[in-house]
Amino acid sequence: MDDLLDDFIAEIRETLESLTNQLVEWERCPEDRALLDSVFRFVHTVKGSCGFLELPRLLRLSHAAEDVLSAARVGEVIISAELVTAVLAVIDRIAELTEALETGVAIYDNDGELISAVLIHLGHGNTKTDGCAAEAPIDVFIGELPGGEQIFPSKARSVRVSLSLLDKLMGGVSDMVLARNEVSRQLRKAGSSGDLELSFGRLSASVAELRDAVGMMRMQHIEKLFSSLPRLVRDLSIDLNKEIDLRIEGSEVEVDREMVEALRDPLTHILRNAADHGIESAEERRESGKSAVGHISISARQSGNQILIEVLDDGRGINIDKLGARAIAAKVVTTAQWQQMSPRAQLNTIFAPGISTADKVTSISGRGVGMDVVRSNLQAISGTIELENQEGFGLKLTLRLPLTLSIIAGLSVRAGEQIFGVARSSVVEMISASNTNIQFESLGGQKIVSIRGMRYPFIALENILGIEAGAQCMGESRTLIVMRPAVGSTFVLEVASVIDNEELVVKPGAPLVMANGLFAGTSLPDNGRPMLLLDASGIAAAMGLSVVHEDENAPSESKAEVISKGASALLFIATDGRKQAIRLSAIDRMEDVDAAQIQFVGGRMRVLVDGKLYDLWECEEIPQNGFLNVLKLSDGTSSCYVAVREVLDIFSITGDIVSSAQPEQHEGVITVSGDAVELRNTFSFFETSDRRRRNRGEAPLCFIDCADDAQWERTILAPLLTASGYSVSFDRTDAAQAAVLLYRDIAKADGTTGDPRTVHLRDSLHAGTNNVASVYRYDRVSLISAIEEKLAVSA
Amino acid sequence: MTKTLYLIADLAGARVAIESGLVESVVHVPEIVPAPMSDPSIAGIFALRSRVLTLIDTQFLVTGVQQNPSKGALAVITEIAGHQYGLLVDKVHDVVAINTQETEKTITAPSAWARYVSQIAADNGALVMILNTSSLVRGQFALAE
Repeated sequence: MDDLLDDFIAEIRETLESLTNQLVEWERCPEDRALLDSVFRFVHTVKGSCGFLELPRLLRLSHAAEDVLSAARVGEVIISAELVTAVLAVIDRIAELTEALETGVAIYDNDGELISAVLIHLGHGNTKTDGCAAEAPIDVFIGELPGGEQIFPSKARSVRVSLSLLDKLMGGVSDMVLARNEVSRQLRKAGSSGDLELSFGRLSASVAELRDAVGMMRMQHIEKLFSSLPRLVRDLSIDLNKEIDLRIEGSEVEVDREMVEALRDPLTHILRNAADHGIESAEERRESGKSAVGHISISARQSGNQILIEVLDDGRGINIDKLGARAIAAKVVTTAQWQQMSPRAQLNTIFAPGISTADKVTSISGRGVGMDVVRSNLQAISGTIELENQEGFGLKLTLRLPLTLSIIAGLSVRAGEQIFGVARSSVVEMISASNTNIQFESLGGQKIVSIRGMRYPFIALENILGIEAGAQCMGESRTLIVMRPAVGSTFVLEVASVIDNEELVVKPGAPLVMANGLFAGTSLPDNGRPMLLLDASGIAAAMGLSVVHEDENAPSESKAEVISKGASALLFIATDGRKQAIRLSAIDRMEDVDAAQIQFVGGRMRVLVDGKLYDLWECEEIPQNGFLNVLKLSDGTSSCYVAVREVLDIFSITGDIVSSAQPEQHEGVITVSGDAVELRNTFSFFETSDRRRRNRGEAPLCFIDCADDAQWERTILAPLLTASGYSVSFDRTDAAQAAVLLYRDIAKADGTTGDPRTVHLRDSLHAGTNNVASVYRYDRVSLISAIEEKLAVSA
Repeated sequence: MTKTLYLIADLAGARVAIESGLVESVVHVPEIVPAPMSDPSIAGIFALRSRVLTLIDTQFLVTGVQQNPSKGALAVITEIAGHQYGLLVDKVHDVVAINTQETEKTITAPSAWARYVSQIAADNGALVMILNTSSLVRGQFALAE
């Protein structure tokens, strides 16, 4: 909340600075519409922000000024010099109060006078404000008014720095990093001394620190913007008496600091509109068959070279007819024009200044200031806004923002002899071109690739860029990248190879380079070789792919999934060198384990992962060094590992499964692209590992009757039972709830023969003359089966 | 009488002058990365410290023959419409003061050059063409039209 307040103060201060000139101008020519609009926008913004920051004094002041100015805008009130003076007095007070918020100085509250001075121009000023001054709550809390010169403890203050200066700083630091890399190369070449190395290390570390700090100055998680929204929506829902559920996704997307600042107002306006006009009252919602709770969801994601922010509500949407009526009434369009407009153009009149479809003006929105401000704010950062209206069902707003200077997670790929960057967000999957699940087809000259039964348009990066294919290294196969661009349908791009995964700083490219639409910008990786970033949407457009909306694309994909309905399985080469398959559903994950994690203990290979021991199958000997490829299998409750030599591919099981001669090891034999492959039976891994474990949920309790110092029972019998999956107690009080009672002392037996849970142990191999049934204490098999028998009876 | 400082350079075999205020520096271009499918006047992109600049093949603009520059080629660094460019030049001579009032009004630039030259002046008696750098960025020009 403090953050928000600081931002608010800084914003008001800044707007006021830029507004000062306009205010003076406005005083001179009060009739100027543009000046009136900007003054109006200012008070509107103040009102909006302080509403959810709970600053009632500012809210009342700005609301009053807004009322008058709004009336002036529609011509209900003549703008007189007195009105201007009154409004300016209010703006001055807003400035004072804003400063006071920071310093904590109290400002004498005669706001009521200022407000009535303004509202008197509306003709009903006095009645409304008389009471206000008396019971006015104060924004600024300070114990007593000090004598005058008190120094207030300064808060951690922020400084606003121009972006060009930040850019310069960032450029300087990047230069420094490159210079450091160069020095480090030189040092290595020259063979440096220890002292020099040490000093260089220190320099290097501080350069790295500086770079991180500068990076943080520029980038921010969009969360900083989103964090204030739940509170805003909560307050709105209370004010409006509507239940609204807000869902936020993608808070981790990183954007330019400038972007966060520039988005704050538009997003606030959009949410207000959605809550106030979009979401209906609970009764209305029930009548139209919706749940009483309204839903608003906000999601942010990075898509190629754009940041997309979607705001979706399930309210009533925009009533086009009403919008038309308003637009005509506000003289934005004529009736004739309106009738000739396309539905989209009609919808877009919502962005014209002074338009609102709200029936009444509330303190939240409905003055028609929202959308034009939203659009102009977005245009200032070269963003766009799109509306998708479903009358009666809701409205979706998509904000598209450029990605200038953002850092993206990228892949570097090679085409011919050249390296290009691709945003990882547009990459769905990468697959080797030599993979057996891939078939190439051609349709009237157009190349198509099908991957696991899904067909995609296909192009080699070299072809689209018109560069030579270059020599392919021996044994290296080309890679297919399945790309899903922000605009356009999914396609497959073939590259010579994928080189690396790295963080790329996107820099804008010169217009002449960007003109072909294939590139999203440039980037300079640490090696100092500049790189062009590919624009997935641009490539899709260059391939002539029709623009298919992603949502429309999705069902067809799931359909394709159904057609190739066979279960998926993983093809791998087992440690014995044979090609085998295992059902994908049994695999928890694939990982590499360090040889040091593997040990032969307790009669079998085991692997230690995160402090837990798991069985490791099919690993004959511990690799001397390095890593072992393993599959982690899970049956839902327990896990084990299987060593493999190499993981080949994922495919779907089609055709019949021929039954196996060794059903405990293989579920059957299947054909994978012409090869017969054994489908491993995961059951066997768990069945064996469970053999010694009891499947009754909890380990049954065995009570062993013995003295405190009885050595055999405590050091031999108890561990044997524990290892076989029973829990053991020596405490006589547990005897009552134990499942089995064990007695070694036959002599004691007489007294307990009545208890059916009792198992007697004897010291001699042969049963004595005693007619009590007993088990030789070293006959493990008989002992366990005797216990099992008792358990079976008691169960 | 106003004199402005100009950088005199050889470009496609001719002497040209570039206003020194527009020149950030003159560098030997490091490795050049080609920019496929872009305008033929683009020789590629290159890195200058932490910035990525676009290299303009000035010879192509005048003669229509691509230069295929390699590492070490000489370029004049300048900013045009918010982007930084390197203009390939054959050679740079000196920075001289030229009185732009005394331009040769009767002599016009050859037609291949006309588009890129704002005026013709004399430097110590020798004629030089004063380049209009922003016209070298063809895309920019096309957008303006």
